[in-house]
Amino acid sequence: MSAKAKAMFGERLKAPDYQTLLQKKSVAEIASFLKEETSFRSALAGINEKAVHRGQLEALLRMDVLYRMEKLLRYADKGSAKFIDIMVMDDEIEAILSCIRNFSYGDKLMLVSALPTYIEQYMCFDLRKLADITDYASLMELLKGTPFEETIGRYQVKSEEDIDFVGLEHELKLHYYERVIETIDKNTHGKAQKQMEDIYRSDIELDNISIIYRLKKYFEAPPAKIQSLLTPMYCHISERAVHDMIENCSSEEVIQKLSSSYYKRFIAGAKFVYIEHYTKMILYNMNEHFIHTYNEPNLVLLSYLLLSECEIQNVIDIIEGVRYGIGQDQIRELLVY
Amino acid sequence: MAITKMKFISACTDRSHLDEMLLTGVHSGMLHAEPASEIITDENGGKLISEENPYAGYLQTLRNFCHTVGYEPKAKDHADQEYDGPAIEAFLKELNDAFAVDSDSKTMDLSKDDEKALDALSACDFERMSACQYLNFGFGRLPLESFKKLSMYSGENFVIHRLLTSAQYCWLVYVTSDTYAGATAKIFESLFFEPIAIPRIDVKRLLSRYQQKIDDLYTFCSIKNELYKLHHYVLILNEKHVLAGFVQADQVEAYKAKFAGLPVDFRVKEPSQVPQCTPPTLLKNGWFARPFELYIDMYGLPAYDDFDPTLFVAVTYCILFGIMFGDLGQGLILVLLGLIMEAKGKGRLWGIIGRVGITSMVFGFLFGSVFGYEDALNPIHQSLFHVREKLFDVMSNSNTMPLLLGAMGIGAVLILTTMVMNIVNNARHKRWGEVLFSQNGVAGFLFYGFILVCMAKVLISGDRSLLTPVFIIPFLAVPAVCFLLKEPLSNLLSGKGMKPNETWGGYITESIFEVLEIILSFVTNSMSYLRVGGFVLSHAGMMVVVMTLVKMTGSGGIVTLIIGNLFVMILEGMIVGIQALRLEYYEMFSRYYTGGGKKYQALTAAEA
Repeated sequence: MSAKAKAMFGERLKAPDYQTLLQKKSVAEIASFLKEETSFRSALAGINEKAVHRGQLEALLRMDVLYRMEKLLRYADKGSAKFIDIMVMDDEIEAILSCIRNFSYGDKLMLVSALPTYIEQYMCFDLRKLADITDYASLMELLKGTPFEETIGRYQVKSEEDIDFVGLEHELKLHYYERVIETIDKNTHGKAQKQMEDIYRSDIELDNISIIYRLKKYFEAPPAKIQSLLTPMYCHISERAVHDMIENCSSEEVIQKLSSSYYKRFIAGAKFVYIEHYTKMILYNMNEHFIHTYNEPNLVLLSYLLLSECEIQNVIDIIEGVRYGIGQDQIRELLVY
Repeated sequence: MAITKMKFISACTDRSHLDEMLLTGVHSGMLHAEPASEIITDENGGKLISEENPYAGYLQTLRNFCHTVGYEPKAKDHADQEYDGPAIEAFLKELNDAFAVDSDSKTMDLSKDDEKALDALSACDFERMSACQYLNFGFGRLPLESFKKLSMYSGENFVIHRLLTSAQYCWLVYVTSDTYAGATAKIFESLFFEPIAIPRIDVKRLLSRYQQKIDDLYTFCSIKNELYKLHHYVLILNEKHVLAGFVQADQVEAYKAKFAGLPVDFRVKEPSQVPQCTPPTLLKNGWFARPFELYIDMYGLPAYDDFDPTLFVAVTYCILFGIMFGDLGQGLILVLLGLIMEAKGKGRLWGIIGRVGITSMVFGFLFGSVFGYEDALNPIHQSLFHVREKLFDVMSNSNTMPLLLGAMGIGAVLILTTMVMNIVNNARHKRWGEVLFSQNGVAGFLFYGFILVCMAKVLISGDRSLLTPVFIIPFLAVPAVCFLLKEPLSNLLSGKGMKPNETWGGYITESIFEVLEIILSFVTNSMSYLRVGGFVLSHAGMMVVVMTLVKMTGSGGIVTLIIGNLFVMILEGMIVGIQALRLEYYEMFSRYYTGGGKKYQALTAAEA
């Protein structure tokens, strides 16, 4: 499977492809290029590229990640198949949060449009029923017996307006990471296990750094507030160093400390555009390093999954940039490859 | 080996029979028509026909209409009835009214699946759908993923009917009341629905009513338009309309017979009597040489009054190919494959392959090689030629030099032959300067021939007796002076005086370098034929590799033998074919052939 995944990674979009995409003037031109010239040709086969809607194109690209995973899992053992649950869980959480957000917006069209029906057969609840839920009690009823029941139950409130959305999102994310680590521990051993955990712990750690940077730069939040929003998990930056960042550093110093930390090997020469781009770049380079260096199937599979998601996000950024008439250089700065 | 003789034939008639004469001329398939503008001279006082063609406009309008309604008009052999201008215009207006087409109508850009879905929807009757006052219809493509999501809107006030499904989309029609039309449209829009306009009328049903007349009018206008396009071949001479051109000499009577029953007069002339028109070239060759006309076509046909080099090319190409690709078995495969494909009409290249296969077999037999088995023919060689092993062992070290020298010898003979051909050809055209003084004329022949004879004598017997001023002056020095003074000497022969076209100083300086280049080119052209010997060795070498692999693979040897032979045949066959062609074009054609002919092309309706 690792050979297959590496071969598929070899077909990814490369700098000349991104350059060509950036030169396109419309969604139709982008669709046509992706359909004719790239590895997305099977995902986009049969679409009417002249009339394809931006949303449909994005949905097809996202579906393609699932199909790539399914394709790779044909070569994998049962343990590896569990990793698709990780991918699905991420989408499940996003769908639940969209549903809760919609309590206040009441925009069913937008909610339905965003629901990932292509992955519903893997989900632990009936996705289609989510569209008709308009209150928290119904949501709890729907999620009864699922891994989310307990977390959702803890945030039950009398009125939908009182929901602690940030706290719930944070908690679901924690739950997600716990499940990921649990899956890795159960299905992988030795060095690969450590490296796979490393990917996720780094993700959490970098997410924490992003929170610290943003709260300091834009909200001038007090250390206690910042601390409360962080996930207490550390990997390559010690708890003490993180604490030091919260207590004593400005936002610029946070970036400086990050670029001189363990992660510096993955961002050598990278330009700082905005914090999420910076952390995404680190994770991309880290996964690329793993996929090039190691052969352990689960590690390669996981790295390939995360790199594919990154590739899809790049294309979506280009589509949206072109759709809203943003300049080539501005869009290029958003890309991670 | 000839260029078909042509006659210039003019057919004359009055205006009322012009169309029939043109149609007959076109459909005869024998006339290489000449544009009237080429034929007209001050002496004959001819005029061009100048009539406006209204049918091009009618045809375009009809095509535009058909394109708009998605119909492909079909042209028949002939129209059932005649139409005049007002009748055509009235019918076109009737069509536009019936199909509600106006000048602003846009063509619907529908895919085949869109059309299939629309066809399915037509069962609902477009006119009736359009006439509904309170119902609102939407038709179009919905991504399949979005179709799943429609179930999340089960309580909404619309119903759908699925018409067609593909890998990405389903085509459906939804129906709702006017009250909910906006909300329903928003739902579908959010699901990336791609709407397609529902036609107000059922075009297909309506078309079935008009189809026959549309096709008939289309046929009539196409024929008329075609005839008008042929008007540039018609000149008016003494009030008569004339269609003129070249016909093969032996087809003149058959061509005339085609016009039986028409009041047409003919005049037949020799091509030389019509100096304003260049006669076309049609090569005429026998079974063996005919496929090689392809190579002549590629290089450029000979002029009508030149000679046809096809047979010479066929013979020399086959010999060169055969030597370089000598293998009895592989040659047989080429013969069978080439002749079968040629018989199936797969192109002239297969004919060439079939013929070069014959010489491959001949030289394969002489080299004693069958599918790489170099000893297979030894008994036959021993009984036929009374030799110890085989007639000529290509891979023997002692044979390498004779092989290469032999290749150069063949090259020398071919170079001398092409010089003779050039001399004869230029003599026919009375270009005496070229005949006598050029590098490919008598001077070149003596110069190159003398060097060859000297080399042969020195190599064979060590005899240097020819290297004395008595021979060197007439055979080397005089020809060299001829090369140097070719232009002034040619001018002298044509009575223009001996002065070159530029100054003497400039001319001599330029000519000295040209003479050096000529001498150098004799050396390089001769060396170029070394490749013939080189490819004999290369072919044999590749087969040795194949046979070694056959031995190594043991029981799978037969498979290796087949694959190896196929590989060598394809790779070596292509290389040798190209190299032989290179020798033809660059080493031989450049000495005797100029091309510049015009291809004979009988006029057909499609070309018109």
